[in-house]
Amino acid sequence: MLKRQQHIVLFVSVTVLFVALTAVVALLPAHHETKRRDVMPNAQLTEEELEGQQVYIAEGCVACHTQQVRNIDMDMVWGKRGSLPLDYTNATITSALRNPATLMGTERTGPDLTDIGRRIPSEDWHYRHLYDPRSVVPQSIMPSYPWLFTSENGTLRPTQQGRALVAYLLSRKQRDLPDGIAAPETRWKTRSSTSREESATPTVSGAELYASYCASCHQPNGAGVEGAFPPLIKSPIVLGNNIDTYVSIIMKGIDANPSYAIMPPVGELNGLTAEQVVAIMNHERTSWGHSAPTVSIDDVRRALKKLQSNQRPE
Amino acid sequence: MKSTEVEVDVILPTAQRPVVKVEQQQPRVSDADRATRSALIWAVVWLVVGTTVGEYLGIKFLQPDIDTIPWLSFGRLRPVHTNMVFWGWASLALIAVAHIVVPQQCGVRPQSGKALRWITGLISTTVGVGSVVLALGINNSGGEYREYVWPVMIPFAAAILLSLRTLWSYVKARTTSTIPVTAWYILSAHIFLLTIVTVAYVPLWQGGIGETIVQGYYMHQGVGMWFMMSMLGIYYAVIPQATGGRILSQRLSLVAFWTQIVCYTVIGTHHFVFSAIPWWLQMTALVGSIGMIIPVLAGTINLAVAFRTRQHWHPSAVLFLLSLVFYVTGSLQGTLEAFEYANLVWHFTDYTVAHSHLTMYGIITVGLFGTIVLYAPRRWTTRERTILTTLAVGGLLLYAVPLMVGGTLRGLSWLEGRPFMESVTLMMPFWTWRAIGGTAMWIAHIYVFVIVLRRYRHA
Repeated sequence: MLKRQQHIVLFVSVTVLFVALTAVVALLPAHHETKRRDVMPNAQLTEEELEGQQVYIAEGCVACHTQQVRNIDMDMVWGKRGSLPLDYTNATITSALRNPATLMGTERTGPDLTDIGRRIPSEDWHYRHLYDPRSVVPQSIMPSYPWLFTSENGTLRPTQQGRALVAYLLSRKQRDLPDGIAAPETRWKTRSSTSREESATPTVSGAELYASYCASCHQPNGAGVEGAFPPLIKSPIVLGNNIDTYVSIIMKGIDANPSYAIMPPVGELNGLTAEQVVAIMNHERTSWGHSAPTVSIDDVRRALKKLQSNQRPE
Repeated sequence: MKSTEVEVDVILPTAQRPVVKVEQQQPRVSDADRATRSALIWAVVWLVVGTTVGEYLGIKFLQPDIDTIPWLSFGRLRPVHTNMVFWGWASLALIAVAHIVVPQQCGVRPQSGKALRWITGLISTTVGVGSVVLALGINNSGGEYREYVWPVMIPFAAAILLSLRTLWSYVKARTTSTIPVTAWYILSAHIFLLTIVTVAYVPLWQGGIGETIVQGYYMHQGVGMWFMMSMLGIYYAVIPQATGGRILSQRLSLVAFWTQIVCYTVIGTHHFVFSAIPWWLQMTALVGSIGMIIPVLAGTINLAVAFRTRQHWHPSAVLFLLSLVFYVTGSLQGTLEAFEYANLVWHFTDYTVAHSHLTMYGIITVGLFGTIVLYAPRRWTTRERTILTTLAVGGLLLYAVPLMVGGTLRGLSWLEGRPFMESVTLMMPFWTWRAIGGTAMWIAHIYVFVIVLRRYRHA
């Protein structure tokens, strides 16, 4: 070999090796995933949700929020199962300027958003939160986004972009897997509560359930947010004896008082069981200085049955 | 051959150079030298601006309502910071230094500074335009370090291509009997960067989680196969010069070089452990991450011997030594982070932010400061060097150690299933320390800027 040509041999070998390895660990598997034919049913985004996704991208939300539930026990607070490739089949080319985006993220400075549309289904909560995060989550360090709102005759309204973003956020619900596809096995059972291990039933700690499903709006201290979410402290419904109405509000939401936001059907969206509902109710009836008599599971079961039999016309 | 002239100008360690005399005579500054200096000045400008942005971002963790201006909001500004320091500072400075050390190691004299001037202009265009575009809310979907949209990246890619062509001509015209190690690393790094940018920006194979597979590959090859490879190449030139020592063996360099390519290329997906990415890819990444111990230790031993066999101690040597220490610790930390249990605790927390600063800053930036001190037209005084080292490295430790502690506590809080917001409040003191350390680093950059500007103008 000519000594003068050594550099060609060296750098051609380097290039061939690097490109070959690149093909094995990036190009081929990525190509394989791109060519998948199966798509998640009912996961297509609407026009407005797609627009909202563009706002999500433009504002760089992915810098602090992930959209992936890892197949480990500690992540099961963000969804019911680990995410699968099927959850990301929506990521396709949408613009000549941008790559497709799974928006999985690598930082969780703020919460994961895979299931935010189910966890916090209230549109009004999201508007308030975007306009002034600390008005609903006092410890939050999220930026506020006043430019997604305009002031009309003294009242704040979301701009089209703001509406689209909230529509996109509300569309973030972990989908049920189609038949024949199994959820990934959940690994690293690490969360301490042994009761969870022993009983196969979902968690029934009223305080935990309240924190997960109720506290975003009604606040951890039950005081609500003035002008948006009613206080539960001294609430006649919480402390009263009308169990049917109480259960109905938890399961199906309510829109009775114009000075408060519409409450979405939190219970139905999250598939709360009678055990969970009664745990939430009794937590509310005995916290924040309350000492109302606890509700029995039978009362709640009865109320749930009634709800099912006389479905309100939609 | 002309190389003897080069040696007088550049290769001879400053300690052996008749410094005062040279200054009095107002030595003829070649066109290539002038281009190098202007490239370095521009790089330091991007460092100062980029870390000013970083500093502001650090403050936002403590004062989220400090402003409500769209283009200053956290999500838009974060990629402005990362891309500016990656491409504007580190890449441009590495290339500028590469254009000193490659011809020097190949025993050829750089003919003109024209190519480097173009490179400086092209990279600065990408960074300048890219930052404005990001602030306007136009980005490439938010995959880290490829937030610039592709038209913005074209001048950058052109700059890398031009740099490769110029460096190639030096290697081709070498007067040395073998290809110097410095050239292996630096030219390969250019080839790798062009490859990964192409893979990352062509959307054809990026549907579904294909995008995430490419993202993992890209973000890690960017740091490992571009920044680190370039820095390693520079180490092999500057450490022997700063110490007068010699590396342990050429064979060990070979081992380090080839194992780095084999191991590093496959570890990108360790950023997505437990995600929807195929299990075999996650496992490959773990094996590669463990394999990285080989090149890291081989390279470190090789270069550490140059410190042990030192003949003298140039003021820059301490910076190279610190950089090398960050290299071995930061890289081994990376291997550690790839393990599954480590992912449970550290993934998604500020621990990774600490890691990226220990490596990108501790290794690359501290090493580049070393080259700036080594190749300064006039020698840095001990006081100046001490101020720089203390602020930069002290600041980095104040920045990174609290984030590592806080990140660990945060991960443990999640593992225990504590409420999420509790893990936000517990970070507050650590975010405060990060801002304090960041401020020290930021002052160091302004200091470097003032000195470089003064030195290069009067030289």
